[in-house]
Amino acid sequence: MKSTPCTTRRSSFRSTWSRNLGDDLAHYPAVLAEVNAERAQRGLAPLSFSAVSLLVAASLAYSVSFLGRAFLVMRRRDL
Amino acid sequence: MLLRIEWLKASRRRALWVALAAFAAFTAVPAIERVRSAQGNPNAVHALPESWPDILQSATGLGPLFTGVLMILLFAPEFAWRTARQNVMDGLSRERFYAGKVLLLAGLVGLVTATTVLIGAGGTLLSPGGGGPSFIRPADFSYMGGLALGMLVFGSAGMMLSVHLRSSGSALAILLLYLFVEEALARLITGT
Repeated sequence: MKSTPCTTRRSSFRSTWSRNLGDDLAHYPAVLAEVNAERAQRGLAPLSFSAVSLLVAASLAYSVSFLGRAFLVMRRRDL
Repeated sequence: MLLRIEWLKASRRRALWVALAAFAAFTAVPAIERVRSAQGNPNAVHALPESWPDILQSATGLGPLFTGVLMILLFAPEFAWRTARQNVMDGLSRERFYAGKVLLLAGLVGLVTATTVLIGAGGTLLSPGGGGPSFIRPADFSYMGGLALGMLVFGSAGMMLSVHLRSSGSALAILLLYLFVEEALARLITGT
């Protein structure tokens, strides 16, 4: 099973999230560089890395919010 | 010191080793399949660094799940068994106790990632044929980062559920119920 770079699959579901994240982080920069090289030849503006960055930021935000919530509950409640 | 406390507590829990062994078994099955396929078919190559995406992909579904489950199994009983209370009574502040659990989470992510990497890389040693000149490529590190991030999300969710529910049974039930609902929703949305 060969992994493929994919910029259209977007899901917050567990079964695909981690795989998308890994696939995109691994392959997206190379694919994006190729696409941007073609776009530069045609005089078009380069595309950005925002789609993957957004997924990474969302993952980190989820983690921080879960950990923050755990911290607040631990401080407030009796052990 | 915190790390030592957490290691002492975690290493004596049979649940950690049983869950880790189950994860290793689930990860080993696709690795064995790939080795057998490479041995039977000269065109099928299972070697590093080319096979890293396949190796890491086999853990993308189970890795985060096991991290969340392990976090719950190791953390939630501390409230029922009063070890959390005892730690604080013995002089550990709540903040340091919490920091210890964050270290435990980081350790679990590292342990599950290391298990995946070791089993996958071990499989390539048994496989005929060689790979490229390098052992690992920068893109493979990125893939590992994505996998670790997925584990971090589920591990932190497990930690939050443990603190809220203070019972490993209830926390596991909520986590698994969420996964069932999520799976059903995913099938509905994707139409598979």
